[in-house]
Amino acid sequence: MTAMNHDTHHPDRVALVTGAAGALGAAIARALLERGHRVAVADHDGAALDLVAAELGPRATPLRIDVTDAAQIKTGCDALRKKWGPVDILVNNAGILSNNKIDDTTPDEWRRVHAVNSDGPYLLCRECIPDMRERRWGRIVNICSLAMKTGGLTAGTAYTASKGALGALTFSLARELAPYGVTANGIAPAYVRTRMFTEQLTERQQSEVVRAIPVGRFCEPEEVAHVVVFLSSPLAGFITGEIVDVNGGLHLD
Amino acid sequence: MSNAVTPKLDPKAFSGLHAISGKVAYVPGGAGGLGEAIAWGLAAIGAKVVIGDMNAAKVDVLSASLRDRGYEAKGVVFDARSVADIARSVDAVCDFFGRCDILVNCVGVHREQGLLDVTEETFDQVLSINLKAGMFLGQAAARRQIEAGRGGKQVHLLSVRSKLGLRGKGYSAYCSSKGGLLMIVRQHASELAPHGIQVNGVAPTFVYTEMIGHVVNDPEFKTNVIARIPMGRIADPADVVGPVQFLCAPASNFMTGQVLYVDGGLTACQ
Repeated sequence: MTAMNHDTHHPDRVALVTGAAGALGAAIARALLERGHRVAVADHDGAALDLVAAELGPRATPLRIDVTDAAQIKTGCDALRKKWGPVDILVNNAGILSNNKIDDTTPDEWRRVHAVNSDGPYLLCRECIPDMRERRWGRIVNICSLAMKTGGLTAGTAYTASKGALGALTFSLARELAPYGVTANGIAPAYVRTRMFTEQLTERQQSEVVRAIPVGRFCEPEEVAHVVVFLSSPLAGFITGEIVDVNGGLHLD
Repeated sequence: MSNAVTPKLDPKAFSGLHAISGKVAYVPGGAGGLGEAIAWGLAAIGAKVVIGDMNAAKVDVLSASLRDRGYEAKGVVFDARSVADIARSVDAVCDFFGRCDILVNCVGVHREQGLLDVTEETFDQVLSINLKAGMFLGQAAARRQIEAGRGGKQVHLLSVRSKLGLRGKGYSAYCSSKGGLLMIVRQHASELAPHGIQVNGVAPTFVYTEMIGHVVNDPEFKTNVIARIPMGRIADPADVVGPVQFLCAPASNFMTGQVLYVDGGLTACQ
């Protein structure tokens, strides 16, 4: 046999990335676009979303969606089905962070954090899975967090619990959907260098955290995006129910 | 004699030439009359089978009945007009069973239109399904087969109309698409030979399936068709299964770019 180096990854799957106006979501969308996919970039912040979509070019399409609102999700996904067809790759990236521990976590905050971090992925999965199951192919990637494994080093109670729910949702879907050619995996990043994570820390916290991370720096958004591309690639079909750590050696399990 | 040209025979090598135990076979168009027979035929000689079709209900029913009989079978729903969807369907095959050793392309349609009435839309539609889908199914399967490094088999369902026109019917799109698919077989065979992948075609005459309703329902035409076939009958789907099994099995390992005509002698005397 002659030597060959064919890439089995065929472009042109339809991907949906939530929270795409943020630095991590935009990096994920960019990485999927680079692999030849078409990417619907979803966010509730219309102005920020338009900027990101314009920068990503014509193979990205903006979807203004509040992930806590089932009706908006339905409308957005219907429009996407009409434009490009059903979603093949769903990346639940939208999330909000609170560093409040138990005493400062009000019921309102608890509900608000869970609505975005855990209800949102549930609603999007519920909308996208029937198509994936019927077509016998799909990739779901949930952006979880190191906090669900460590109890949250700096992250707060509601955030940590909501990410734990997202991890368990991943396991549940992985088990249910495996016979249908649909994989569900999670990524547990730590301290991604974005406005939401590292820039919410005080300078003192920042230097303490960096000192605690064996790799000695924060995580770049592109490094998480790389794992999304891997988990959604054709040869990753035997990986499901896996939570991939991207934490610079901060936590080993 | 140490310098004999004829290699020493290994008598053991001749058993199991027609078995494909454990191989993974993808049958796009597998919910059609011919595809269904082929799916059963490949399962019967040991393959794990994935049925691909646009019709989800048919895919489910057929893959379930294969499983009920103890075979390993799955189904994938895809649109043969979409290159992206074709690639996704081959990826689904690999997700299910880890590989795609064998492709048997049964995707095909016929739209009757006399030459003077042929529309651009219908012509494009037939060419897209019969010819273009064959190109990209072959490509998608080849990508996975080359990557796995274990060779492979690809069979495309052609037709005697790959090389014969048909009197009295509007067959421009069908004949040209199947003729083109014949050249896909030859060209893919040439390019994939170094990778240990054989590409061949099976070319039946009219086969009793839903696709030839226009023949069956036209008694005069049917009589004429049968009159031109030396063996005096229209083919059954089962007639096509054996040749497909052969081209998927080790028995045909040194054959590539070839066409087996399954036509009751039609092309022998046309």
